Amino acid sequence: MNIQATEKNGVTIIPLEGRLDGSNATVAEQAFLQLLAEGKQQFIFDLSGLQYISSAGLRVILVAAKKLRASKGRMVCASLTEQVYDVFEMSGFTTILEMAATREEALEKISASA
Amino acid sequence: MSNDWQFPIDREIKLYNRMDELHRLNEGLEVVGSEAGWPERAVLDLSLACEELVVNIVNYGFPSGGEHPIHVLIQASPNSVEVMIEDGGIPFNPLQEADPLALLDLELEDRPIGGLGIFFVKRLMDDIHYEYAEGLNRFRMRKQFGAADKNDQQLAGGHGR
Repeated sequence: MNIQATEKNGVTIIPLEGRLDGSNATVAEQAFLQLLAEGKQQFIFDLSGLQYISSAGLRVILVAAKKLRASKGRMVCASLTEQVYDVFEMSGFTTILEMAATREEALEKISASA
Repeated sequence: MSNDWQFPIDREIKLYNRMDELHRLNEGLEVVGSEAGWPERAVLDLSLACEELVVNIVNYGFPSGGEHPIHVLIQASPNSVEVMIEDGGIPFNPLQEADPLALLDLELEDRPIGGLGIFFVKRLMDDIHYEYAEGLNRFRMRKQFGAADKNDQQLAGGHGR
């Protein structure tokens, strides 16, 4: 997975595309940790192009959420596709993570409470 | 196991115990899915169940290292599938692990990282079976597509965001 993060209003947007599975979860985690190390604290994971996630992929999301909770940062998962939403729900992630229907809604959520 | 006439497609995907083999696993499942005419979602669900089992074998099956085969045998019809996954790693029955139901309600801070994979397999497949025989771990699972899902919550859950 080639991850090209962008920034809008001080919020770092990480688009995840295709499949997030055991073969590329480490790449995605490293990309996030690199941005965190650069001092980024507000993130949107844009999942509109993510067709599939496995438990290895969920691990990346959970690591990010835990790190940002500890550092008083913020993250919102936006635009989940069907399989990804169902896996989040099976895992209880829909109740512990902040979610938004679109990237715009996610941006509004973050800026409303900034 | 089932009779041939029930499963017109009979395929073997031979993998090695490396994470990058998940690409070939997925490609193989997509080919079978398109030949059998499965809906896209059925392919994704089966892909998830297979990935979780194969990842478990890759991570824990061969603690002394080395390259070892993992056999994935797929019998498919337009509305059902049976998968058998075999490996010669250390004996491990994934079904012995308790479901992590208590963990699902924990707050973010307290959630352990991991432990969900086999739970997904149980939730997604209709029928699962493990045996260790002749030095092989043998995991079999079955899924019927099309009919009402036994998993009501999944259907009701949908996209209620």
